[in-house]
Amino acid sequence: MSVVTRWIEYDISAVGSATDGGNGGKGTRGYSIGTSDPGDTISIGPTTNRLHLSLDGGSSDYITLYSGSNLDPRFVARDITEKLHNTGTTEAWTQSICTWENTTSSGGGNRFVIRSGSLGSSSSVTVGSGTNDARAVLGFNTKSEFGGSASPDGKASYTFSGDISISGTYYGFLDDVYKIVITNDHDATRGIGTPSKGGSNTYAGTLTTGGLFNHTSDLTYTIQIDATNGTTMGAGTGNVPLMKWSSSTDSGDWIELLYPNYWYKVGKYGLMVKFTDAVFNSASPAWTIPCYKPDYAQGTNASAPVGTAQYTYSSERGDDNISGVISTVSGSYTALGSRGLSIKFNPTSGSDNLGAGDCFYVICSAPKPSNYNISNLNYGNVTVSTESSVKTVAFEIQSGATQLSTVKFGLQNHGTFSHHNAGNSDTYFRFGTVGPGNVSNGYEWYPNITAADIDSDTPPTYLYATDDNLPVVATADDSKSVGNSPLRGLMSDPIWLNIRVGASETGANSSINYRLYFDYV
Amino acid sequence: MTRYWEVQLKDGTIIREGQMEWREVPKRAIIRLSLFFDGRHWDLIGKEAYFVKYRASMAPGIQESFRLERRTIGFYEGAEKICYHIDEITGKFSMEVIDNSAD
Repeated sequence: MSVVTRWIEYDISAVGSATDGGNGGKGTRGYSIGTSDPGDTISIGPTTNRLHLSLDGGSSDYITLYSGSNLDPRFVARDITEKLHNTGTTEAWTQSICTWENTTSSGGGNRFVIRSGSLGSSSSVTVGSGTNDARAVLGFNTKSEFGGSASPDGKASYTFSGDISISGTYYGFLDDVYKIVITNDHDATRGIGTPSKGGSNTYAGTLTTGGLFNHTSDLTYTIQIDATNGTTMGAGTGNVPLMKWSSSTDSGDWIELLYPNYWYKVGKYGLMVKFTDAVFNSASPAWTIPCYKPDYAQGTNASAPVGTAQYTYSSERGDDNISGVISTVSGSYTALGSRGLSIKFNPTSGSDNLGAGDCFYVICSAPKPSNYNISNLNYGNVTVSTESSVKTVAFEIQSGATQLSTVKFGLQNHGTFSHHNAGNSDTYFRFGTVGPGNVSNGYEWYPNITAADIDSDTPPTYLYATDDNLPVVATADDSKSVGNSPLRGLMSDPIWLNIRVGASETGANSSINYRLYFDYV
Repeated sequence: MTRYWEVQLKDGTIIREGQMEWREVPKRAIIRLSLFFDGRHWDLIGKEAYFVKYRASMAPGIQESFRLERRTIGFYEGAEKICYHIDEITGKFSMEVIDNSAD
């Protein structure tokens, strides 16, 4: 019950960015895994709040982490990411990402992984010793570090000598990484076949596959479930089901399924799965999932020129291509995800073909928060009959819960304003939202929202919901729904707010109260 | 404290809210989950998995404004979560079934 929360403010002009990793989208990222088990709650204090890192072999620097007791590891991972973005100026730092994930290297387990924002052979992450060292509490007192590679993820070398370019604005609210693979999906969408449930598996929820399989051979993954410790997710470490995967060429150790609707990696070649919140039983096999290598770039051709070759994509957060492969267009941009990006393939010559399995990455960083732990929203001086500035905030749980749901937002008190819903030159309390929990036309975020965007009950295409005038309410049921996502912490979607002061209002320094309702486990 | 959840484990151990975080309770060992609320109580017995859930509210940025709105105990039936809600302010009881069979 001892849940601790915080509010974050964003500048309305904040916007994310998408890059090609400084290497034309080619190669892989270097990374560091803290291989010690830090548990599923992280306590950080004044003597354990600094991480000393070097990215891409550059000079090392400290980041100072958010302090607190029993912090959710997804919250900590995003905090690390945001601190990295604010520390360095090179792409390695500004596009770096820390995640809390089930690692697929030896030892397995749910661990922190820090990846450089660059691609290629110079990409690396080194976590070193320092003062007030956070390594032990994060599990980095033992670590595995791997440099990036110039080779493609999934096969030995690129057929394509050229590179990619990215166009557009990243309208995601959280960090993400797109994986693009040349294929015509001859066997299955994104190379991932239909899961088959084992005969003794009584799980009645839904397993959803995600990701993009890219390897030099077809593989069938077998997933085992061990429910000895617990039958349901969200129940805390030591009390949740375990999952293990194997194929003919790779296998993983038991990992805990800590959270529902959270992506877990299966194998080393791009398959992910997530589960709805339902009861597991011990089963082997619990599922088998066939995965197929990219056979062809187009038709029955292993390689094809730009303009003929086809590709598909997926993202770490599940923005996957579900509508069939996309044909490349020579000299033009084509779709990449649903968050506003496009991709172009740049051959070095007319004979520079794209080959099946050629793999590219696009690394996306989120809009940066402007203030943490805000305690009020100040609209400043607002003249009657005008709109105030628009404020953007998001809510999150930092500790004390594993799941957040049913987020609602309402106006609790309109303060000293006396012309709210009075029918006489009224004051309006405006509201809008969109985000990973409630995506609108691919948008999770939109920069420079103005009062005109939220002064109607009909939202523009880039917002999920708006209300031109919040009524005063006293319950969650009467408040406005706001989405939430578990993938980068227990966080609500962003909320845009402003007021329009009615023509007849008088006085100053009116305090109004909003109230947010939320369910948590 | 007259409002709390309580579990009984297979070995007879009784754990009450405040003595242990729910996340630390050994879920597989639970044989009873109860919710006590101002002299009333509800018992869940013989279920395959149990959960505890809360609804809270707060004013943006003001931790002191945190207020519990609802307490919930419940159990799973396959992909369904059967919720017993008790409104913290009115004491009204309600039930809800959440179906997680689909994504």
